[in-house]
Amino acid sequence: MTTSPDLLPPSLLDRLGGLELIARTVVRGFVAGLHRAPFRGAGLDFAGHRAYQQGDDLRHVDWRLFGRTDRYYVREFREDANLRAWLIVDATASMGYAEPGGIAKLRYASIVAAALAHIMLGTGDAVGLATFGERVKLEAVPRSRRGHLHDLLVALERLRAGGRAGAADALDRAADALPRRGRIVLLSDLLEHDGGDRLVAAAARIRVRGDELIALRVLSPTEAGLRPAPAAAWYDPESPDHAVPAELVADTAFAARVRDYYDALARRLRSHGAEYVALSTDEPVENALRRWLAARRSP
Amino acid sequence: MIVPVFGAPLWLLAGVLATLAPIVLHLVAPRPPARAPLPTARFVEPQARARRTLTRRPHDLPLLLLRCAFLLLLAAAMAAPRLVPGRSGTADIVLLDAAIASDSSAITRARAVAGAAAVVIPFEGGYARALRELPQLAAERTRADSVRAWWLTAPRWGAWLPGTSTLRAQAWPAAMGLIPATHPAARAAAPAAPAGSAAVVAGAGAGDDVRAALVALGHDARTVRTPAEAAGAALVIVLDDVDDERLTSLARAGATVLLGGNANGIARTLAADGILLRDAAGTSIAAPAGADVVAAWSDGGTAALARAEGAGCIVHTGIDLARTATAAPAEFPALLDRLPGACAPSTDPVADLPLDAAGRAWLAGGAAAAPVDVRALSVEAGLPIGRWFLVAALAMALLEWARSARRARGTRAARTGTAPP
Repeated sequence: MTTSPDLLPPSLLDRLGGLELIARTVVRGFVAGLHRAPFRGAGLDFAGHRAYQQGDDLRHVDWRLFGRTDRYYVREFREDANLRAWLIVDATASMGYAEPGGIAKLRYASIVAAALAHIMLGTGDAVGLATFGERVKLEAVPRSRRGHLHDLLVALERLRAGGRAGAADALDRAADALPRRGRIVLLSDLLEHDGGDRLVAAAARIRVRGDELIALRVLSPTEAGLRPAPAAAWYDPESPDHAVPAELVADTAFAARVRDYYDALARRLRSHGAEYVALSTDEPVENALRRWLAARRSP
Repeated sequence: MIVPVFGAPLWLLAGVLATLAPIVLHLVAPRPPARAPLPTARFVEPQARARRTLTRRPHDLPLLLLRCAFLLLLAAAMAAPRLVPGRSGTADIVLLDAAIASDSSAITRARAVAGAAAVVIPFEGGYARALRELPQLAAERTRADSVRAWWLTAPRWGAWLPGTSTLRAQAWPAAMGLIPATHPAARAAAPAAPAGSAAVVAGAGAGDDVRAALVALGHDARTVRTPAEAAGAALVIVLDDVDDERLTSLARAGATVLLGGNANGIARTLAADGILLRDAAGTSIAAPAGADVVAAWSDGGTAALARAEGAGCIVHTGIDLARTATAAPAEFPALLDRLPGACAPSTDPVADLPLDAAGRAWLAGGAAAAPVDVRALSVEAGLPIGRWFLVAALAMALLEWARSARRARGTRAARTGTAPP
């Protein structure tokens, strides 16, 4: 997958306007770069025959029935529109971080979530939204009715970063609200205070139930140690009392330590059958969607 | 206008130099690290020491400004500042020998030479004492920032020169003028020389004020109706419109003929304008051929022209002498004494006098003939304001201490990784 040169960087995309416009722009760009439409129903059930009408696709003509009846009949299929999905967006204090000249992680995650909601509702899935910041909140239960996308976008626009709740509780609450097998997409920086143990355990529970879990990790290049930063006393927004004086240019092992943490977490998640996709806030959102597409599984 | 002056201005220089120290310190001192958010801070290894570098911008600019302000205010307080009234312009002081102070013509003569606005100060007790008191008198008796000094006395070099050369140089570092006056005793001893005869040519009922001024100057003055009646007078003042030929023949006979403004058809009153006497060289004002500009108004317009005529001279002036006599009685006698003198080859009072070289050199003072800056000579009491600078310096010191303490707390917090209070 290559990045089209005319895709907007996230910081410019954010200036387009509201999430509705941004999501539409992103989805258009995402779809335009694909060789075939990604919109494929979750499953096709045979629903019966009807008489052939002028213009019907000849591929759907049931020739066996024609041989028996000397009349043209076409097969009709019913798409299974009953996939229920939760988008879980991390709204803790660390997601409010934006590197100099960049877009805040929460904003980036909201744009990705808006585009995913747009796409999944377009395929007939029911999509809900849950967030965790000060506490876990089920913002909108999965629905597929007309107008539900607007409700999701409004809820995403209203998100503000704060608090230090863990992702595990949000995963458990969302999974409990899925009556049958569904899909959970987690958008978070995955900076768990326990090193990710509770998160991995929740992922395991979800996978045991048969739900699909995709973790989209959102991080900025500066946090990953890929961009130099001047000397400062650095502090975690979720633990502001403790500051570490350092100059990130001088600390070459910093990037390696960050990478090691995420690599280990990814291994643990994948070992339970969850998918892990690393997103960077400086890469176009369309690329994030393509990586989501590659990781998606049909149930 | 009030202006500040400093009794010990070198302290100001010391204060400016002292501010270099905090400036240099703020450029090289290590900066305490600023707090910045980073969600992945748990992966950062703390670094033991911040580097010391020479930076282009001093850190903690407000603290640096407070320190510099403290040093400058302290230096200003040590420099003994005072508020004194502002001075401007140039004034003339005439030191009048008290032995001849009763002679009113001497004062007239003083103002005639030094200017109508000259401050005449009688002195007694000798020249040395007068010389010592002169700087303080110049500061107290005038509001000018530069002063020219004159002596009005009968020059007795035997009393002046011995032992006063050093004092002369220290007390008044510029040339001084001399307005010679005859000592009354000498005048009494000399045979009564006839005062110059003068005639005022005017119409009926006019010219009396001018005649009275001439008499006050010691002239034997009379009022006449025609130039012919003025024959024999040394000074002829013409207020009326008369025949030029008659006046020319009077001048050729040796008289100084002074034509007033009315006679020329132009009339300006002295009281409304100033008048400056220039020497025969006459500077930037163009004069017609054969005539010299010998007086100018303060706006630069020609006030009087003089041309030699035979043994005498003719002075044309645009001054309405008759009206000026009534409108500016204080200045009129001096004016009248100066204008005829414009016919003389030079109006330099020093060069004119029968002085020997030593006397001239004493008056010249060995320095440029320029007015003296009064403030350079004397110390005016004024209003001392040093204590206010000291109070301001203490206030700066308090603010500096408070800010330094806060900065130190912040640095300790950053080092230990705790949030500052």
